[in-house]
Amino acid sequence: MAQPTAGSKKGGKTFELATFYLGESLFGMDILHIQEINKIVDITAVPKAPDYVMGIINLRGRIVTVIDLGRKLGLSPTVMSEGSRNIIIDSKDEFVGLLVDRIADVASVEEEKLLPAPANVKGAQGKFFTGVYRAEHDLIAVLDVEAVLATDEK
Amino acid sequence: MGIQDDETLQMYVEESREHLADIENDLLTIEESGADIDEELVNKVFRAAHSIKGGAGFMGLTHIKELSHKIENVLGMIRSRQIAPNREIVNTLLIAFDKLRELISNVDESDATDISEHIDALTALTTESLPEPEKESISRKVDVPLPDGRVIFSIPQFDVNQAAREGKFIYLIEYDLLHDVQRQGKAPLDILNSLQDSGIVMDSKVDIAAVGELEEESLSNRIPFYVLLATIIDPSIVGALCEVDDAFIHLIPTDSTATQEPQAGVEAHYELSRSFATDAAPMEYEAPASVEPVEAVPDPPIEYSPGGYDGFSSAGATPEPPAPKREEPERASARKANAAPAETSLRVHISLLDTLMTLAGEMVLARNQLLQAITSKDGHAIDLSAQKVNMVTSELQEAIMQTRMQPIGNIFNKFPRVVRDLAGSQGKSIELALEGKEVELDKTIIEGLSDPLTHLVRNSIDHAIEPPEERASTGKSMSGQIVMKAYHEAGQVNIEISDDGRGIDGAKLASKAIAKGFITAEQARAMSEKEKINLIFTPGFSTAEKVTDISGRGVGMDVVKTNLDRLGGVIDIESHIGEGTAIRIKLPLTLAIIPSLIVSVGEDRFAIPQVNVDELLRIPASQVKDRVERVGDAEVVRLRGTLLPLVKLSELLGIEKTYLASDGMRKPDRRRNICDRRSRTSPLFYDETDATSTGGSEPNEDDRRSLADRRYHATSAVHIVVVSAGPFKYGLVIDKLHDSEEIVVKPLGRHLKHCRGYAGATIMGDGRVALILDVGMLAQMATLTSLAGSDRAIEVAQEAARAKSQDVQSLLLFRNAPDEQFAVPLDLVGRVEQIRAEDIEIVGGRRVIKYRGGSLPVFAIEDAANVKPSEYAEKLLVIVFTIAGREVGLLASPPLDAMEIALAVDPSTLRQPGVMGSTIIGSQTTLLIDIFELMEIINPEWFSGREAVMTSSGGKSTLLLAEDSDFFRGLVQKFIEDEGYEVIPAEDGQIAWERLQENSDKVALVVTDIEMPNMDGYELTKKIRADKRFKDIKIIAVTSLAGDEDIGRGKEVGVDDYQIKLDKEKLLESIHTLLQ
Repeated sequence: MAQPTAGSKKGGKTFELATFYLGESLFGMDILHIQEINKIVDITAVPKAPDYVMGIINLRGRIVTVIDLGRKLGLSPTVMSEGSRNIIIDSKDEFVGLLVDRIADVASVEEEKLLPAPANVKGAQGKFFTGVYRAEHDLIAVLDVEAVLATDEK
Repeated sequence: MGIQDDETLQMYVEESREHLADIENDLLTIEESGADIDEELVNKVFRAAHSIKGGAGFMGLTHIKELSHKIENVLGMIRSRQIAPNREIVNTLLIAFDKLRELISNVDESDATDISEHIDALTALTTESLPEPEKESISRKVDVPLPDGRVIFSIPQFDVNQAAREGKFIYLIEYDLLHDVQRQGKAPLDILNSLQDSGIVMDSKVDIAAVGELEEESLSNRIPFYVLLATIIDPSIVGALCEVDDAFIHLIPTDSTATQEPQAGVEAHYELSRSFATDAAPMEYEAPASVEPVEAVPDPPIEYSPGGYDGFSSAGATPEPPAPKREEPERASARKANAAPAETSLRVHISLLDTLMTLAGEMVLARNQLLQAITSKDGHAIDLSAQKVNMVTSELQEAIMQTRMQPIGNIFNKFPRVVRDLAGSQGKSIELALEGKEVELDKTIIEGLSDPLTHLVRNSIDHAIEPPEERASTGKSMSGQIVMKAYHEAGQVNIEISDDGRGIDGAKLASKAIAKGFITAEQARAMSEKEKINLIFTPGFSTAEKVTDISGRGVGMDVVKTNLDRLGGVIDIESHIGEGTAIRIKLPLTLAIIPSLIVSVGEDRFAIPQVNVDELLRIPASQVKDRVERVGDAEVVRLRGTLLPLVKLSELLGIEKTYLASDGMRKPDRRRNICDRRSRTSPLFYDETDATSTGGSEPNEDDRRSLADRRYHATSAVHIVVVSAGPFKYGLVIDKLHDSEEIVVKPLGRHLKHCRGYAGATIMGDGRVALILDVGMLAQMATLTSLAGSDRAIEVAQEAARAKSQDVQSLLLFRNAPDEQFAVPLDLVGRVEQIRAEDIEIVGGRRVIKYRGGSLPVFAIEDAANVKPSEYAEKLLVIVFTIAGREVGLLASPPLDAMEIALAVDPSTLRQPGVMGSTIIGSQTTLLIDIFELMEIINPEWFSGREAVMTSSGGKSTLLLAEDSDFFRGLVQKFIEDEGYEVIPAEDGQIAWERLQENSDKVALVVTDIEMPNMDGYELTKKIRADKRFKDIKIIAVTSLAGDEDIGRGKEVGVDDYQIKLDKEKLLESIHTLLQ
């Protein structure tokens, strides 16, 4: 868990990033947004829905919209595989699922080391990201969850 | 005020709310009766205001007290007939009560709210009628001191005078909150209430200040609670009444001359033996507003009821300075007013809670049993406990639903006021009648209904009801009528708002719609009047421009519809120009759980709310060609002579259709049209439809079915769910029908909010999700209008009408034993359910199945008729009929089919009890079941009631029966004769007319078929109606198919009632009713 109290004003403020892959690209998001991570269950398609909506699932009695994160970010559509996972986000009193290709580690990140997101992050629009973080081997693009979950149309 | 605790305050608020609940309507009734007042009613309102005042005084809520006090004054004057309640006075009272309600909703801020405006208005009412000298006495106050000289109350002199005039004594009673009240387990309010039974509580207060001062002198720990009581009870017994020692009761002199002097001494009749308070210094009283300047109720002594009135009122001569304003009282009150209506708590009857508790207990037990059974792997026990869980769950569900149910009266009750205010402001006179206020609906629905209903009622007042002069000139009564009615029907609640106003001119609406580009002139021509009127619901129909000039409602009717749609409601308008308009709203009892039909298209399942489902249609491959046609650019199906537009769900939703090709691969299905075989050129739907048909589709081509299936079913039968939502009625083409299920509605997430066509989602028994279809939205997506468009439609309709003139009967075909075919008239069938053999339970010697939450008795044909017994296959059908007012099921086995055929019935060869005859259908001898006879054999007791009614009509009335089919004539004649009537048969309209001439003095009623050679039923009816001799003859039209248009036409020519030939029960009922 993040330790927001430890020297939060200057330096030292860290938070934890849950990281995951879309294709071969590594992304991350603040772990506090995440409600749970599930395997993919039966998804019911919703005809006429926006193209990035995979469908809806039953999560213990709640209807959860599942979003194809790859598609939403403007990358290639996610292909379901054994590794596919559904990241359930609690956003605005509603659960939304983000479909990703593979879950990776949790990385502890110092806020000040977070670099501003360029206009194009790994092929996706910069507006979806709060920044990028240089990890040991890779660059993690940090998602702005609310931007990703914003509805396109009014 | 220190002693009031939250609980007491809460109690007071709730009590006051109850007092206020009915006041609006009572006041309106008072206004109606004018000078001729209903004293009981005025008293009731008066008492309400008085009780509120009494409590407020005790609680130290000065503004509430003040306002209710003024209201009370006005009411007092009305009661004593000093002023007659007119519109203006009642208006002021209504507004004042509104304010009072607001104050009570926000008790904590009530004293910060500005009420001066209301006080002034009320005061003006009372002072207007005052004689000059009386006004003087208003401003004078009299101090009411204790014998020790401390002034406890300061009351208007007028009140003292008033009491004196009535021969009352005024007592100052000192209670002790500790000894007299609390220790005896009472609340101060109880005391006030009991005192009010025997007199008038003029004022009351608790003297907290006294406690502090007394302590120093180590005197008894009293908390004095003073009450000033005016009563006719003699001083010698008043002590017993108040249950207080005489020493604490002080008689205040009421001699009017003595009171002329403000500081009149107090003459204590009883020795003051109090052990405290020798201190004569006036005490600090914390509620200065409780001391009021007074304005008088003038001279002639007023009869007050024991409920009590004290004649206080604010002085016109010396208006009380408005209450000190605190910070932003306006804003505070405005904010609160907005916040107030949303209720957060609900009253539930204790017995209901107990039921819930018991059920919860049973649920726990059932779970334990289930767990145990599962652990021990005892299959039978699992079955048993599963059954129990099932039962308890249903009961629990029902009980919980009940807690949410509220009477519709809660919103109906606000309408008398709305109607009165609006009608008044427009100079119209309108009477409002409310019916069925006790009908209960789910809380959320009740809340959601308020706006649409208000809108509709406003529309009626604004546009429909004419001004009195106009009404008079058209021969209507001066005052218009609006009726609001709620009633249950078929598991739904219907709300009807009807008026006797102008009515809606469909033609004008249509031309408007054409002008706005919603429909084409061609479409308009093909529309029925009703469809034209329903154009009013078209979104955007009447936003910018007012439609008032075309006798219309219309402003925002689409909004009304949208609101109702959200509630799962269906709205329908019927209107006749010059006669009035009736708007019917059908609503589900609850939104949370709705019965739905599950269907599927491709791999996807969808739920269609049962509310929207009219019927199910399966068109066998062999008939597709004949019944599905293209009219203009839409596909339609011919259904009982009318044309029904078709919408293909797969296409509308863009579901890719596949079929299993011969090489075992799934291939996209390229065929587009159902009626491909006939024409291959034009597209199926309008071009502007946003249904992008990605892969083309062919729902009837049920290729994905297993081969075994295909052998059984026709390969390309079309499954159609006939749905309706408001003006739209259309056939939804789907692939497969599943069961009817009760589903729990769950909302869709925000990403799908703009995805039209869905009303939500639900979780199916297998845990997967299915979407719930919004039938109305789908129709819009398909840019469907309820019309079938174009001249071709008219042509086809005419053709259909011609075909109909042969006696066509819709039959439901089924089997009992596999090789015996049966038929019943389709019109008698309520539903068909599929069950498994083990669903049949034998209870009390009868077979029943669980059906829509109850038990449905089921019978087999062989119970009464001599036919081959059924073999009770795994899957059974139950055909549900309603007979003698109950639902019964008839067991049958598949295959099931429905057919429209021209009947050639052999009424003799195979006739036996329960079987009316036989006919050949599909080269097979088919027995026609007489379901009424069958049930009468099995359950004779069901029919005894009706027969008693029948014979009570006495004597033998003579009926004329015109019917061209020998079979039907024989049949109908027989069962009418069985009921004790005499029947004169006639083979067609012409013969009937001749017979009627011959027996003109005998025939009391004519039962006529519609389609007959030589002279049809309409013609016959016209002739009878045109002849004065036959003006008392009743006419019942019977037909094998009762369509709305037929009924309409029949009514036009003067038919009294319309019945379906083979619905014996209803026909007899109708004959009986008409002859009475």
